[in-house]
Amino acid sequence: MANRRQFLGGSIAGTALLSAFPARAGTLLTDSAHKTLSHFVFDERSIEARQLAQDMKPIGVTTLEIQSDASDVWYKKLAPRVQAGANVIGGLTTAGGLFTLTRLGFDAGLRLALHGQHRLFDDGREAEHVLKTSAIVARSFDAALASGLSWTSALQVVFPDLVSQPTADRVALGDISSPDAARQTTLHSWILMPRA
Amino acid sequence: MTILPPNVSAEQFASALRAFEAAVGKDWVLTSETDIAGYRDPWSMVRDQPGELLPSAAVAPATVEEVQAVVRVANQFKVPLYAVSTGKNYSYGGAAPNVRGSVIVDLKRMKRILELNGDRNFALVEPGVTYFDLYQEIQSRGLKLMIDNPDPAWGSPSGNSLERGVGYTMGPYRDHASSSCGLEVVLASGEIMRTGMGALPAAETWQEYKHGFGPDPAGLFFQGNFGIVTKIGVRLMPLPEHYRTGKITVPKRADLGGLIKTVNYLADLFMVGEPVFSSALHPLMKNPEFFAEATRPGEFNDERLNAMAAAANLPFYQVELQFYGSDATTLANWEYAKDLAKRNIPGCSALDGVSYTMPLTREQIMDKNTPYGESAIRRYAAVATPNLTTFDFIGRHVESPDDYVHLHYGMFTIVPRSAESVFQVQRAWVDLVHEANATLVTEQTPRPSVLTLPLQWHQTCFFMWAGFPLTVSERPMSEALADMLERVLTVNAKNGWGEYRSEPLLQDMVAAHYNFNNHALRRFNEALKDAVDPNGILSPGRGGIWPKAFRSLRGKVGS
Repeated sequence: MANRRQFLGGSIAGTALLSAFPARAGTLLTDSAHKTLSHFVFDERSIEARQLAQDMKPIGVTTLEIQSDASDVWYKKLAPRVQAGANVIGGLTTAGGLFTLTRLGFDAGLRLALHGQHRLFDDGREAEHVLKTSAIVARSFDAALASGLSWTSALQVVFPDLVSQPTADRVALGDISSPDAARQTTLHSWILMPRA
Repeated sequence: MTILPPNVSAEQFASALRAFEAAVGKDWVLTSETDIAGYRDPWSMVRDQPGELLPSAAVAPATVEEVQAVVRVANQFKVPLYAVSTGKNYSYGGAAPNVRGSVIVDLKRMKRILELNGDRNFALVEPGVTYFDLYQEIQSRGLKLMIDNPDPAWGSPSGNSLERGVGYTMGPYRDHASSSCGLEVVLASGEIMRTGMGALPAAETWQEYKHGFGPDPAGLFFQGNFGIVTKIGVRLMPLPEHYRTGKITVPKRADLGGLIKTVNYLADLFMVGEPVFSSALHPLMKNPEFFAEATRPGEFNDERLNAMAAAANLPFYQVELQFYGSDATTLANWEYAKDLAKRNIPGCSALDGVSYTMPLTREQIMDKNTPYGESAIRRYAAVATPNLTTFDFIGRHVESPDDYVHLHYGMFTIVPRSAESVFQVQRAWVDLVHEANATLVTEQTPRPSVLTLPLQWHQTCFFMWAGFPLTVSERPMSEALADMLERVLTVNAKNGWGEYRSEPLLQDMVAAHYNFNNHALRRFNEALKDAVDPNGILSPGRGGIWPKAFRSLRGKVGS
């Protein structure tokens, strides 16, 4: 059975990069009625993140893998698409991925609308979840878990739920994450949307 | 929670915000909690405390004219501003202002690369252009140019140079302040000024001769608060054809003298890039006897230390050298370096490293192994490939707290390029840690020891790094830690070792040590500041320079 902390050794990082910040203000603010979850970023060192990415593909979401360096994905893939109008990006990454992408997203006029911390244990204990998002979406996540869905499947439920809300609170960029304890891994789910 | 600028009422601030909106557009005046959160220092030692250095708002102008308008509004309402280009230098406070309640002037929207010249090797950029942007533009135009980026690279040539940041390639380019050439600045009056040849309107040498005619005030804008820089010239290294490395090792502690002498000669002839000093003896620190000797207060026993290194069949110190040029010239320079080292230190050894055609492939960049074993070179940065791998450590479990500095104030202390000085620093810091019974982490080592070695990011001096491990849960910084910080700065200053840079929370403490002749430098800077910025609205307190209107805040930043 795969160890939850299946992080591959070594790292693969970015090469050539593109400008992140859209040149014109008009591209940043989008009518909330036209939000679409277009991209999902996942840390390919994590089994759970890879699985969720697989599950995203059939619903038409472009999945983008990262490892230790999100800059390649941001500058080469996401930034041009944000500039072209892509306005909702989701992800399941490590704290490092969350940190870099939310700050790069901030520069591009995107704000966090969901941030989930999912603490996973190597000893088989149930994962623990803390979700910062609008109350209705948080309840939806809890209900999905209570119905027996895995937590990644529950995220699959709430991502489109959040995107379909006519308005959604934005979550302030948080503090940096404390290091995981031994035999624990925290993954971070997140959704970036235009400034409210 | 609404934060106001000092001495500005809520009503006045509301009027100021409306005036800022008129200047830059409503969309670009940011006041919501989620917007302000983007400018918080995630590594702040006083996060969530009453003194946390939070802004009251942010404004994001897109043009020089808008910057001028913002400055005029600030003067009208006496609102302090704090200009940032990308605001991502989290080692030094990020976008956090010296004065709580300042309005951030976020220059990220000013993203034009105004000129990029592949024959005369320079760029002229706006403050929002990042190292990634410049790198990509060079690639897309197929120019044979190399940036010199810091690590991580999401900052800007403008911001990093103005903070006197450093990089990892050849000496003249590693010093980003020195390799800048020509500024355009919006002054506190709202006027635009250009330095160097930029003051001669038809000159085409603005990015080629930085001094112009007469006194050159450009230095005032580096780590200063005399203006908002809206354009900066950057000298760029031509892309070499080949990259080569080699390592020189020396068997005994005292051999560091010959090693540094060799490196200084090569570096000052511009034959080598960043020399990377290290020691192979780190595994011996797990040996209690070696640890005791390596961290002994009072006096080190070199004979005993050398014997233990010899018994382990390990060299005491080593330096990795980097060569840029053609295949032939890099090989010739490496051969010369080996010969010179042998003459200076007969007992040294020389080991070939990598030899690559430029540009390197991703695999070549990622491969930490070399023919001589693991390398301490930041190869990404050495071959000017910007990346953000540095942040992969966030949130990761670490086996030993000593291996991981989570939050820190890092002191990069300026030290002469000599073994004598390095040994003095080792001695001073080891003794200090013993006297204070406290922690101090140093570069490559969890505590000061004979293995504490310099960084040669700057061409002509060493930096020696020391810091404090702090975890998120240990904030705010304790009094004991604050006391230790002051003790380190005091010991350093007593020995003539100052900081090259600091975060807002600590700039006053650092600046106070640059006090020759009753703080003549500070008095000069503040006289100038009061003259050119009478309302004191441009980044008050930055660099320890306080305008009259805010001088009472000196020493109180963060409290």
